[in-house]
Amino acid sequence: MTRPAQTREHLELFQGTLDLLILRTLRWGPMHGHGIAKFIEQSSRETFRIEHGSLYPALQRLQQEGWIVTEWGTSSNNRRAKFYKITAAGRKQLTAEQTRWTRFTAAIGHILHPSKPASEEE
Amino acid sequence: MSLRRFVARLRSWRKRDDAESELADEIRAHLEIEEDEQRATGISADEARDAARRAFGNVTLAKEVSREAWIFRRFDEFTGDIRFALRQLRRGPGFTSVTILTLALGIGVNTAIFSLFYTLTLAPLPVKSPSEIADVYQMSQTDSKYGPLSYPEYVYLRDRNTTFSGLAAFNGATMTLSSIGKTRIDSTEGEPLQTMLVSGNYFSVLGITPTHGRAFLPDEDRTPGSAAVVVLSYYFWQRRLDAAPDIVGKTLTLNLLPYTVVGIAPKGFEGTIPNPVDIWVPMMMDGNANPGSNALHDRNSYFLHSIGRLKNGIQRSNAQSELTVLAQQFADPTTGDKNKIGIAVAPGSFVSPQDFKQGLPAGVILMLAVALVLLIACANVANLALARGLSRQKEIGTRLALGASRFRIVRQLLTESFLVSLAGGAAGTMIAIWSLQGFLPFLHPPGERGLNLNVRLDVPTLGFAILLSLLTAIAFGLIPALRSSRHDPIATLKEEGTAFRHRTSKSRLRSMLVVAQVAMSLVLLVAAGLLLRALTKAQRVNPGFDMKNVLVITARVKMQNYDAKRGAEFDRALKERLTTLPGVNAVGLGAVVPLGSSFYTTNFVPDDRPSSPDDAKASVNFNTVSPGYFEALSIPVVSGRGFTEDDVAQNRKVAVVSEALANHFWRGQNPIGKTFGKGREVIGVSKDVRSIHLWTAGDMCVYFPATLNDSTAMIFFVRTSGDPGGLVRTVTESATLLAPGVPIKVIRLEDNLARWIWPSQLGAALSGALGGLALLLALIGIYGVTSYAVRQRTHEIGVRMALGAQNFHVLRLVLGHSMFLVGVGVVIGLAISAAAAQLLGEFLYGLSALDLVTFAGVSMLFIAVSLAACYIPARRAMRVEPITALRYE
Repeated sequence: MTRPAQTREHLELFQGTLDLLILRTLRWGPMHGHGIAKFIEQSSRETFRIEHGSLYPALQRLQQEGWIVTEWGTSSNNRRAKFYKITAAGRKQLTAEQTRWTRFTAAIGHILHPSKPASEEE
Repeated sequence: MSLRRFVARLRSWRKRDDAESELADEIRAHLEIEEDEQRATGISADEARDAARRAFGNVTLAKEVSREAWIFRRFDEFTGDIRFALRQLRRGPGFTSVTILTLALGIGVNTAIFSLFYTLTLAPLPVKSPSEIADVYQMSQTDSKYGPLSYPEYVYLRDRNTTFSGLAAFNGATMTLSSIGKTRIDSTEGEPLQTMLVSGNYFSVLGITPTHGRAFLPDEDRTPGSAAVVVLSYYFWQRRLDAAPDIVGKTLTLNLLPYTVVGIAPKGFEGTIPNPVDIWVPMMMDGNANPGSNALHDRNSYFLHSIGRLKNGIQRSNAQSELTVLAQQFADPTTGDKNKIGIAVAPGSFVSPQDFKQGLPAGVILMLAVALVLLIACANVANLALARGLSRQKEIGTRLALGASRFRIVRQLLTESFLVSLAGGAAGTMIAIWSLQGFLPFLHPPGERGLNLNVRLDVPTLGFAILLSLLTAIAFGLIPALRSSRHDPIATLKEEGTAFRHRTSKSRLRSMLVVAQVAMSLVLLVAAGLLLRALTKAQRVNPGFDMKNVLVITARVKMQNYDAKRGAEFDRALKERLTTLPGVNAVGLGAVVPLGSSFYTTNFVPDDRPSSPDDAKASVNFNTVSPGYFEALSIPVVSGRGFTEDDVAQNRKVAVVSEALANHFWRGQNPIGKTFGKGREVIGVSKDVRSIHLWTAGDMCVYFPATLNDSTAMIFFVRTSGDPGGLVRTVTESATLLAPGVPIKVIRLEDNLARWIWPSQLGAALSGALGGLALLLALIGIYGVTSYAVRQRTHEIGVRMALGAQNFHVLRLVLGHSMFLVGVGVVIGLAISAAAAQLLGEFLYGLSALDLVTFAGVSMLFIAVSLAACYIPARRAMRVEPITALRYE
């Protein structure tokens, strides 16, 4: 299977962020794939329009790491769907990722807007 | 990847089929949910479905990337390649079987040669911790020959060195078995056994423990003549003594002395030289094993092999330095410069570095020959692969169009090549090892035993086979793979188009392969031809004496402790008796058998001029003979006379010299009457004989009359008028009667010749076989190419025939191209042969390396056979019906 190098790059960059978003979403409670996709789209105020399909590789990966677990159940409109739930390890990972992300954005913020007073840091 | 993740991945890999179907379910469910939502906005069902799909994105891509979470991608691809390759190979059984067979032949023959040489030279000795074992040789610092030690020298080194934990010595001999226990052997001459005389510590130094009984004790290594004990080899015990369980303690009568069996060596150990050993006897029994030998006390008798185990951490170079110093200390200061003496310590091996150097040219040539065979096989297979690649062009083109990378396709094609190559290599290696194990015991000069070589499928051989298979696969597979996967498939298709063209097969590569095959094959055939002709020439060499119709009688009278007087009496009586036998023309005695395995040399110093350094260097052979010797061997005495009984009776200081000697020392003068060696007179000149090597003429030889002192070591030569075979019995009986209890051996002199011919017989057989193999492979290649060409041009041929071409024209068309290639190949092959034939050098026995008969003959043979190979597909071409051909688009 061939894939132009550019797309692969995008995917890799995106992977880390996507993991974070999924975990955060699942913090609210178990959800199925479609639900997660919709949640991210809506919560980000339509900024993120992801292809639903790109969730699945990420979900597999997170499952492998042991941060989420799965269970088949019924969706709100009576369809059979696979639900994902965050685990304790996942919660820990989420906290770590969140902290890292915040520090990351703060650092960029400092570079872009150096005049911002220190007290406004989170 | 961390271990935990690896384990998790492994677990999910095991359940991958379930995961696959679950994901499919899940995605389907997802799409349904999205569809529902879309429907809720009021669009039609179909539009909803499309919208859902759009929102989802590429389902296949999602599945593929998700899949990577639970597979090992490269491994998966690898197994996929193999499965696909197997399927493809199964689909083309013709190609697969021919290829495997061809490769089996090529790789098998190479593995066989490698295994042979490895076992002989590099394989560790079959002893304990072979890396610590080293061979010790005497080496003069001026010339680099690895020589033997003397016994006193060995003892000195053994007792004073600090670098070896043990230093042993051994020497080969042949002892005659005359009875086992109380039972006599049924033969007048007794049974010769391959014996090894060894120092007491031989077995312990090598770490060999006998399976029954014991090895030798230190006591048995002290006093000469006091240790009549013997250790048997396992094989000898099985074969000759029927594995008698109580053999330890029984006696064997060897060289007329009873020896007690004290032990049996373990199975698989047959000594440390290539010739297998039957029995081991303590060195102290040298006096009995070699009657008349004083070697144990003689510091000038160099005959001993030495082998030792280095101490822990000691390097061979250290041992070498120490032993050299010791050897120089030991050296007798009166016999030349002792600083020239040196010791060489080499890794323990079956063959000495000297033997290795001598055998190297033959070995290298052999390896080159089999490598050529493999190359020819590769060319064959490459051609086949190219042809096959073309027939798969559609499939490959489609895959390329779908986005497969060229690398991927090449990788897949190479996998097929590797599979075929490994299969061929495995089959070939199996056959090679089995053949070697089966044939080696029979591979020996007449009269000797087969080699002590344990050829088996050990790690180095297997490694070699696998490596060779892989290299072969790349050799024949890479270029066809690259060719087939060209990014512009249209170009490939155009090249091999089935359209009507003058030359549809523009494939220059295939033509070159055929030419290369023909050339290499021709080189091998020329080599085989040269060797064969050399062999026939060798068999007609005139050794200078008549080998036919001569019996040789050896009577080991020293075993019965005959003294000189009794020996002389026996000699006289037997000679008299033999002369009276009907059918006997002449009887003579000599000390040495011409072209036998031993000879004596001496310095020759003419009295009529001061000795020059040239004279000292001239090595002159000598023989001590009785009157009648020259007649018995039909050696003409060209001037002067031979010896008479009177000369012997008067004990005259006379001699007969050979022509070469006369020419060398007294060129242009009459040698008769000249003296040498302080007063010995030359009374006759004999014709030259080839006495040492069959292939060297011009041996300088001097004959002395046999005196009383020589009487116990004389050999009888009996010239018979007819076939000597009939007289063997009578002669043996006569001898036995006159010397009861003495081992008598009677053989025909011409049987000695076999020993000389044998190596070239072997070489000719081997090269003939390889040449034949190469020819066969080349022919298959030619046949294949012609056949393919015919198939390609069926359409064209049909058109031509429809337009009026006769059979003859078609034939010329088809044969033309192929025979042109053969012609070019033959010319190139001849050129290479001419250049390379020099390599065969010494094996040609004087035949010119550019022997015209061979070159011309082989070329003609090749062309004739190639014509036949081309003819079959050509006939097919001629039978083509124009209608069918035209229909075939």
